[in-house]
Amino acid sequence: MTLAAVSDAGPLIHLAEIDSIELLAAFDTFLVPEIVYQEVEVGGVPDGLADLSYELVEADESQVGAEELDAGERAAIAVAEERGIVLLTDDLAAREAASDAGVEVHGSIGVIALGYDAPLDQAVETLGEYF
Amino acid sequence: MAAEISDRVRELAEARGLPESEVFEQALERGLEDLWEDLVLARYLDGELAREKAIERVGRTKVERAEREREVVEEDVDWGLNA
Repeated sequence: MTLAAVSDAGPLIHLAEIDSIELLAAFDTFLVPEIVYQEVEVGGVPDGLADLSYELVEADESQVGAEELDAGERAAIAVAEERGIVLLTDDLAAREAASDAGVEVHGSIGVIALGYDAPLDQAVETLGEYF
Repeated sequence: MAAEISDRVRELAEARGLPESEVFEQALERGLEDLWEDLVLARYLDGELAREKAIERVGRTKVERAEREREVVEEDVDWGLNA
């Protein structure tokens, strides 16, 4: 099964914080909107992002009407909707806006579970150490 | 970090026209409130506290948000382990 996703800033930052950004390599296609990259850049590009295979993409965030979301979140939703791929976000409001738009959406915890190929009980134990 | 805290306390005190001790008191109250809410919600989600009690202590909005967050975590784990 081919996996394709686009991320807003949250998962990039949070996975980097727990030294797990390499788990994003589980996606066959991984996109980062340029505006999201700029947001991440403000706080310092996470270690490990440069080692990932990803594509910077332009997005028209104005087509997503959820004004309570920031530009990066709206851009990521726009890309996910346009390309029919998974959105990665850890923001509850962004998640709900994406779901309302028919986008499949997951967060950092899903990526950790995705990258974990050990038996279920061990995976749950590991997730418990993170959260 | 200690220097940063001192600088912030000084700036807050000057901006609000308060003694630094009052700034510390307000910070403690706010921090304690956050820690208290975290404890109540953790106890509720762990099944140690009834829903109505949790609502009584931190409000319905926060309890409902915590419930939604738990659902999201469960959805994500299920997806990740089965994708």
